[in-house]
Amino acid sequence: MQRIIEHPVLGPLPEVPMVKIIVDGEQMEAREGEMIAAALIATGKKYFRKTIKTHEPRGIYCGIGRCTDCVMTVNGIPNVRTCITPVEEGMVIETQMGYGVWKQEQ
Amino acid sequence: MVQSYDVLVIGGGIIGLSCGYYLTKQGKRVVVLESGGFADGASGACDDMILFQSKKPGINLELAFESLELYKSLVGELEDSLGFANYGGMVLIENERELEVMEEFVMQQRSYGLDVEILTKAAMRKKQPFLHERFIASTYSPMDSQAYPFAVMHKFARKGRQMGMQVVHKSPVVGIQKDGTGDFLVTTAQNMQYRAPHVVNAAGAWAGKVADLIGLNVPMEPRRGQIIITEKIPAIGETNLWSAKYLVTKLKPGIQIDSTEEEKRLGLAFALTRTEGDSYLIGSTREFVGYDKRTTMEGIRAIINQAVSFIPVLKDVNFIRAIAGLRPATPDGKMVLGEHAGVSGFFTAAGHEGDGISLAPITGKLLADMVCEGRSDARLEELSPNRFASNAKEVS
Repeated sequence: MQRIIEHPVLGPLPEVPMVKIIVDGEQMEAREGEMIAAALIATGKKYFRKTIKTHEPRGIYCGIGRCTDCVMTVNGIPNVRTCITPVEEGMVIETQMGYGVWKQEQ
Repeated sequence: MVQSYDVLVIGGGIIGLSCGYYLTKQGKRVVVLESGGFADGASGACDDMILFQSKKPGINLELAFESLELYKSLVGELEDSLGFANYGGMVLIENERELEVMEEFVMQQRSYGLDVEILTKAAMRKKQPFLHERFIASTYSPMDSQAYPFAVMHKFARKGRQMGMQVVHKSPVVGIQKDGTGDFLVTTAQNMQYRAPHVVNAAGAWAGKVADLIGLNVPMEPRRGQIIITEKIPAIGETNLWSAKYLVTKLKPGIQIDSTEEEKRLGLAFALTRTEGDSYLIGSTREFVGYDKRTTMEGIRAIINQAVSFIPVLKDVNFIRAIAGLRPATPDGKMVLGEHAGVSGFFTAAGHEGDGISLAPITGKLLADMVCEGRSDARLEELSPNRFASNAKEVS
């Protein structure tokens, strides 16, 4: 876990309920209301997707929903900006290769 | 100062540049006068389809075949891929009534040599797994293709310039006269004058206004088409798509089709193509609103709602831009191509409405043949600008 427990300005990390998320098939915990990207960084995940042409790893960059560097496939939807999308109980999050693929809706 | 050329082309869109290119190729000294900048008009705000299935069997379909062959040879000639691709196309059918009309239409097109068939629901869904359940069948043609209009225009201009063609931007034509020698004298807003024995009016939606400068009648109405562009997304299905509703209303105007008031007002029809850059272009509207080429919230919203109703996964896709262009529409839906009977040496090549990208190469080539060799195919008679002159006489 990589989290700031005692922040010099914001003070101690408040207690919040935890939710369960599934990241690349593995169950993990996240703080309710936090963004997917924050939850993943806290678990130590280094990259969120690989680029289309050269397959280089990418993670968080702008952190405010503009640059789309941090996109992942979330609940089967490709290209979701993880830095501005809050976690939800049971959310399925996958490292995205290139543009990702559409999951067929049945 | 007066500059002299063999041919003055008025309009620097895809049609004007194609005319300029093919004329230059035949050894003519050509200047293309564009009122705005590069790709400022409808050619810079349209989709990229080279469609066969939307063409009524007849001259339009015949010319589309020839244009496709030209596109293939242009890829080598202009030394660029031109964004040319051949994904094929499907027309989506919602009900039995549409199916009936489309079956008849497909039969006609097949007799003209178009490779097209009706797919069952299962076969359709195999190619397009993300379609909404309600579609009962579709057509499929492997021939439907596409080209990137910006690349085509840019390369026409580049290759043309290498051979001596001039392209002058920001030069709206304000006057056209015929002087004593029989040459045309064209004046631009900057007070520049150009002289040549031939003028080609390729001004698209503005072709009527240009013809007016020399007292000719070319009935041309601007028809606004709005299109949205998505972010880059994984492919949705194998082919490009559009709706039968649009074709059915075009082919059988009498037939009762369920359209909302908004759909009718906007002339809304579904069209979806994947671009070379992995974005999708989704359209479109067909509206008569004069020369207003703004996009509207109403138009964008209608296109989005329609797109999501066709392909539900699009609800999670961002659109990044909306564009609108003025398609040049003629009263009979056919382009205008040929020399005006009243003013020898004055040609019009305009009025393609939604077929400008498809038909640009063949239009330029045929126009160049007319100008250079003074000959015109008998089959092109029905495209002649003189069809409107005679109408006018009948009316008066």
